Amino acid sequence: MKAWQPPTGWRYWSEVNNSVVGLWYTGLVFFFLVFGGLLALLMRIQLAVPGNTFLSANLYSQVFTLHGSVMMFLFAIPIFEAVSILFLPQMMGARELPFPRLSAFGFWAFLIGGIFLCGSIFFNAAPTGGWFMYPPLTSRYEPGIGADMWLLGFSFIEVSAIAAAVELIVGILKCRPPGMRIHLIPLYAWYVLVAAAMILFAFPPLITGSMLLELERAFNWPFFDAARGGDPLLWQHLFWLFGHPEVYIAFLPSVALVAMIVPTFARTPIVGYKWIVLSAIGTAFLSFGLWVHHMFTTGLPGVTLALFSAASQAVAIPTGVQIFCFIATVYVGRLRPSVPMLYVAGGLATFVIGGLTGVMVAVASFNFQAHDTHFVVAHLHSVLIGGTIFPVIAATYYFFPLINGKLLSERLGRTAFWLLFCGFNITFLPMHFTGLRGMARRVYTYPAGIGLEGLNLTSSIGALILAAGFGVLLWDILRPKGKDPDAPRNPWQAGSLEWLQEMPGKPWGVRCIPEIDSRYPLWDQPNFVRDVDEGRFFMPDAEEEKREMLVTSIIDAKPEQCLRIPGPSFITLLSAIFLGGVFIFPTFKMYWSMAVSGVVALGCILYWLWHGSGLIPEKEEKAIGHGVTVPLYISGSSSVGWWAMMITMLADITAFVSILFGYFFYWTLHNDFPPASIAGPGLIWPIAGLLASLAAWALTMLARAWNRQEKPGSFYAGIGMAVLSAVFGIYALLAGPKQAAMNPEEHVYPAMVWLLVIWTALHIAVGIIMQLYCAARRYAGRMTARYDIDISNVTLYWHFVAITVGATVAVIAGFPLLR
Amino acid sequence: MTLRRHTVVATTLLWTGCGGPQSALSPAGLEAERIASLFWWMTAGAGVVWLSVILLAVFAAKKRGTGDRSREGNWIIFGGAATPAVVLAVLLIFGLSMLPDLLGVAPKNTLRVHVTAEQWWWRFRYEVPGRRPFETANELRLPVGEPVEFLLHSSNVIHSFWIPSLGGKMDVMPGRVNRLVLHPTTTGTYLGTCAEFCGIGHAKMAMQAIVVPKEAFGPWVDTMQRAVKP
Repeated sequence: MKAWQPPTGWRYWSEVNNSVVGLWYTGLVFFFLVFGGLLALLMRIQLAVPGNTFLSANLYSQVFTLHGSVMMFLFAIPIFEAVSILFLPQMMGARELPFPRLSAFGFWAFLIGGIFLCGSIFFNAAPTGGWFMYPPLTSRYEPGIGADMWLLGFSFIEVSAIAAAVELIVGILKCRPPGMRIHLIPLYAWYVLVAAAMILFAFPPLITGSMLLELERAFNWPFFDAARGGDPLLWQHLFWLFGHPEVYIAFLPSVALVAMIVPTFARTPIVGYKWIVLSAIGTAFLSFGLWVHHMFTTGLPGVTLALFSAASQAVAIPTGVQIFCFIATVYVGRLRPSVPMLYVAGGLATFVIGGLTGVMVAVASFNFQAHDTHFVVAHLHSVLIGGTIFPVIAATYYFFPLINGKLLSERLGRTAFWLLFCGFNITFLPMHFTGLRGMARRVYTYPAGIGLEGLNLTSSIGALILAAGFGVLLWDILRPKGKDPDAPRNPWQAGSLEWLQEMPGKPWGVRCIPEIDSRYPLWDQPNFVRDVDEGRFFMPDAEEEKREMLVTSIIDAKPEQCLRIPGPSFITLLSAIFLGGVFIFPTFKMYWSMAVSGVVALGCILYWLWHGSGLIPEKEEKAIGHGVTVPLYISGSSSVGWWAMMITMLADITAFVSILFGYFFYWTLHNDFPPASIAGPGLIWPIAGLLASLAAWALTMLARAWNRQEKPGSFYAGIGMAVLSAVFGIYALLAGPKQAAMNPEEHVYPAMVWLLVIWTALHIAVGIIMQLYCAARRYAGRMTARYDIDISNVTLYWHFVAITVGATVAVIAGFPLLR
Repeated sequence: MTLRRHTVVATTLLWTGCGGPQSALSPAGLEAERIASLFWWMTAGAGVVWLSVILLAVFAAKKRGTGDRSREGNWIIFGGAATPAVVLAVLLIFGLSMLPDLLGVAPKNTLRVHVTAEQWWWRFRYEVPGRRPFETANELRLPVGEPVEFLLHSSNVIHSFWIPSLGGKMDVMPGRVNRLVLHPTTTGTYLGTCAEFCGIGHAKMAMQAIVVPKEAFGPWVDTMQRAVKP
């Protein structure tokens, strides 16, 4: 088991194991929670009395922008990714997640991006446009680097969030223990699967929106400038297409924590497992159809308002189902009071208030008054604090023994709870009325004498109590616990797999990979813990001193592969640093440094893949116990790498569809799009580009076949011709708008065409690098006819490139013909 | 001077209740009245729902569990799905039925005011039927009992036009002209503000709407007309 020992000394920071990286990640997320909370405290001090001069208007703008952004991007989303990296493998009796280096990379990217953004306020340079960054305020009325930091910095963090989502999805689909069929998956994993899938489709619209806004800021491409055919409303669509699902991405995994905690203390399996899973999926679908309720006062037609009002109400139903499943579980079982359950109860009471005020603001008529006032501030904090923070604290008390084998203090936990619960309600209940009495959001001060003083002072006092509660909580987490006794094993007598862990835990997780036939194996499977401890299940030892884990099939969890996973490395840190440069340098308009940083980042990532992926094992297969033998190497759609590529490309194609959404938005809403006075890219060049790119795609598929048939000559020739076709494809696509002298600064139409062809060309360029990589792998003997995962995944990538090119050409060449 | 005294009196009278001169809960216009009554109905309903959920949860926690799972579907179907569906359907019908009125089109010959949101003040351009247009800044004067149609313009950033006592808000978007119709029902001075963050002066982008008796409005228009060169 030496393979799993973390490195010591300064090399400790090269560790990639989930239990170490997950701990760093969770700790950092809590740090950002505290930072965001302190910003909130500054705002409450400023608003305690009318006409206060504690913060200037400018600094107040920086503080509220950063508070919202930090809480959403650096706390609410990453907390679930961090906790999942930390605990998900244990919940599924796995040793690791399938791409440990990707987790580590995600963590380092998150650290760099987060520090960059939070640090800005100490230089008085933080963004001031509010967390939803509406242009034209943020495009043409916010000089300085604040808005650029927001757009580029958070895009970088979103990339890291997508990386974590890929990791978690593949982990849940492919790394479950044998026998954990799809209806036995722990509810936490179900929720995380749903939330991670939502990230894939919710974050790309924002990345696209940020790209458009940054192009407008940096290069004057007029996507949101009404004077040149742009439209500020497009940003709101793209932002809320992200922003509303985002709320559920924060909320669902927290419900998932509750779903793990409640059965333990009710001492009975969860009631309505299938209902909960279907509700989570239903919520996810609905949440993509609600975004317009953030835009009810933008002057949209009544029919639109009514439709989105109804959809917004509908989401209350799956939420209600989940809440009642928990209540029913408590009813069926015998409740044992505990600190985690106290927080669950407080969270429920608070969240239901937020849910009900949510139903109220979803009624468009009432929304006309409540929108953009402190009523909404009260509503969203009830939802997020009740629905996310209370469950997260409950989980902190519940899961803490898994981290270092100690229990947190019951006394401090209860003290913190009452401070938090009272502080929360004193702060936010009056705020509903503050809003309806006419206090808009994001005001740094308010006049005396219109009935706002008493309410605001009450809220500020409440905020101090809330802060005291967090202080007690932090002390309980951070206080030295050397003298506390170790917690007993499975201290809460839970039934789920993560409580197999010895106290304190081991880096390899479980002694062996168990076979599962129940949702609560510790309750239902006799002698389960003993059998695990004695190594009677799968893969009890790592004979070759390599980190290994079991890959199983998606539906039935049948063993498919023994996956060798890479160990500690600094390459993830280096990749994150240089990729960070690609996002950070353009903030300061240092485009050459950005290019250099990009090339180095590419080098790092290629080095990482070359040495860390698709390694050819010394033997074909391995016996994992119980007479089961599985291969050490698989390619194609059973492999984790294929799934990772598939999932990543779904996110990528969603970003592309968001750009197309922009094109159609202008096309349907603006009569002068495309304007008659501006020539389009024509037909010849785009079609030439399309044919060349499709040829490159076809040749890639042929090369994959020739490699498999052991025809190296044809393989190299195929790759060579594919690269040449792809290069010509890029040239032809760019030549269209270039030959037509389309000027992207003149009007939004040429800007849109240029964006589509550049996006497509960049994807082809990445495809070329991949083709060359495959040729080099074959040449170096790292890819053979049998071990062909590289070309197999590259072909998958090219399928998506083919779709992208086809859609781009259909739009830029075809749509002008319809005028 | 009388104006200021008027304001002070109105302020002290109103802010002790739910109100204040900038409160959606002390309505002085048709739209605000409808929304306020919707709010109180919904709040009462929400209170009942909240209390029911909490009481059910307490009941479930206090009851010594039997392990009997035969009725578990009832909790989920009735508590989680059916009841909310019925309540929400009623709420939707009730809440959305007032949308057509709130988004209503003004009849012909309505008083029109072009609102231009500047950074950070309000420019009001009056179009009284049959009269020359004239402008005011940050101060509206409206005849009680008459509809008024606001046409909202911005050439800089997004703002939102909001006089809580008279009705809901409407965003002011560059590149679009949004419309809002209000019906003041009570004379008095009401405060309004910008509700969409519009930059450093957002908090101070205030206005007042003085709702006057119909017979006082005509003379005011005459006064304003005399100030405008023909």
